[in-house]
This record gives sequence, C-alpha cells and structure tokens, in this order.
Amino acid sequence: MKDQDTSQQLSSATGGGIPLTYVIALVPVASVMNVIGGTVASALKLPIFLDMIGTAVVAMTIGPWWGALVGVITNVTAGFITGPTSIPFAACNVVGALIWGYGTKWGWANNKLKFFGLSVASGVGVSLMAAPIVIFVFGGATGHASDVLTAGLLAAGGDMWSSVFSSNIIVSSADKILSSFLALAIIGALPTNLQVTGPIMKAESMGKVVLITAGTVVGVILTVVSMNL
Amino acid sequence: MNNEVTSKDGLGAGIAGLGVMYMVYPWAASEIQGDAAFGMLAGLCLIAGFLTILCGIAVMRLKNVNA
Repeated sequence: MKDQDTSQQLSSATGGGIPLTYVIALVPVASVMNVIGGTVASALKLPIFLDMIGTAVVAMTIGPWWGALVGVITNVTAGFITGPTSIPFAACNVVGALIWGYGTKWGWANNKLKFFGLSVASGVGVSLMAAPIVIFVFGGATGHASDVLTAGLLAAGGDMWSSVFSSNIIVSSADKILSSFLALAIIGALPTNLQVTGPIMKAESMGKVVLITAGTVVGVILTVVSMNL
Repeated sequence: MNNEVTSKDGLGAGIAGLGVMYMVYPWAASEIQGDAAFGMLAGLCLIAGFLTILCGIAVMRLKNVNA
C-alpha cells in the first residue's frame, strides 16, 4: 500500500512531470545502448540478445510508453544497419517495455524477489510475442545462437511450437534477468528525480538475488554452448 | 513553453513509435520474403494491431486517472 502511495506520488500521471531535456537525453542514449548491446551479442554469437537494457532503463524510470518508443527506435535502427530481420521483433521490445514499465508502476521493482519476478515475467512476455514471429515470419530459425537449442529440442522429438517457445523462453528469461539487473545498476547512477514511474529498489546489498541471476545466466550460456559442441 | 513531460506525452510518443513500426513493416516484409510478403505482413499487422489496442486501453485508463 505504501509502495502504491509512493508510486502515485512519483507518477507523472498524477500531474507531476519530468524535464523534457532528460527525456531528450535518455531516449536516444537508451536506443543506442540497445543497438550496441544487440550488435555485440550477435557479433560474438552469444546465446542472449542484450538489446533491451536501454528499454528497461527508460521503461522503469520515465514510463512504459517511453520505453516502447525506445524499443521501436532500437529495432528499426538495427533493421537499417544489419538488415530487416530485427524489425519484426520491435513488437517484442515494446511488450518488454510495457511489462517493465507497468510492473514498476504497480510496485514490483521495489523489492528483491518481486524485481526478480518482474524480470522473469518480462522474459516470458517477450517469449510469448517472439515465438509466433520466429515461426510464422522466419520458419523457426532466425540465425541466432539460440537456434541450436531449438534444433536440439526438435531432434529430441518436440514439435516446432514447443521447441521454439521452450528455447526462446530459456534464452529470453536469462537475457531479461541480466538486462533488468544491468538496468538497475544504471538507474542507480541516474538522478532520483528521473524515477517517475514508480519506486525502484537500490542496487546495493542484493546478495542472493545477484547469485540467482548469475547462476541463471551462466546456466543458460553453458547449456547452449554445450549443445553447440 | 512547457518544459516538463508527463506520462500522457509518453503515451503519445509510444503511439508515434507504433506508427513508425507500421510504416517500416511493408519494407521489412518485402526484404525478407520478397513476393511472398503478404503472409508476413498480415502477421505483423496482427501484432501491431494488438499493441495499438493496448495503447487505446492505456489512453482510456489515463483519462480515468486524470478525472
């Protein structure tokens, strides 16, 4: 209840605003951060995406729909740089922004466990949007490192839908958990008056949550790498 | 000039972003699937339509909050 009150006090929906200069500075920087993260992950053939860190920062600080804008800018820009493959996935970036943004507004970013849950929820939400795109638009494979996992699941007797969704949810959850905690570290370095969406916990003293996050990400990377060998 | 932005402005920016998505989808569809782009475009419009519905709901909710 207290969280909600604080959130409402902070929310720009209730009349309080944030300086336009912050938005003008934050949105393009977040988009560039996403494009660079995505390009690096793809160049190194990492089994994660890293193209939603900026989206998470913006959605959790200044609002879900600003985050959605960052998502669209990211994927459209990446589409013009590396080819149109990333453009259909703009919708996934938008869905992630909405989950992070509204989750923060509803007080899920103010507590370690809830924040971990919010990260997993964004991973699941993005996978629900991504799986149909991967199947209908790309026929089940996009050339990403996670395709190995899909191929492995298909070889093990799974059908296309369950294989694509399963591999996507594993990789996406790890990616979103990592992105959420990286975003939390970045938010900690930003001025607190930028946090108008809702209360966000401090990045310090997270102990077990950091271990769980690291374990999840390392586990997924090892799984995909071992299937690659 | 008002130098502060609110969540209403954010919603407007998000809707503008969806508009950009709609404008780029035909190009992406023709680049990826060439002559067979119709099916892909239909699927992408379905997804974008879903997101636009979410925008509409958000607009209605925002109106209620401000009332």
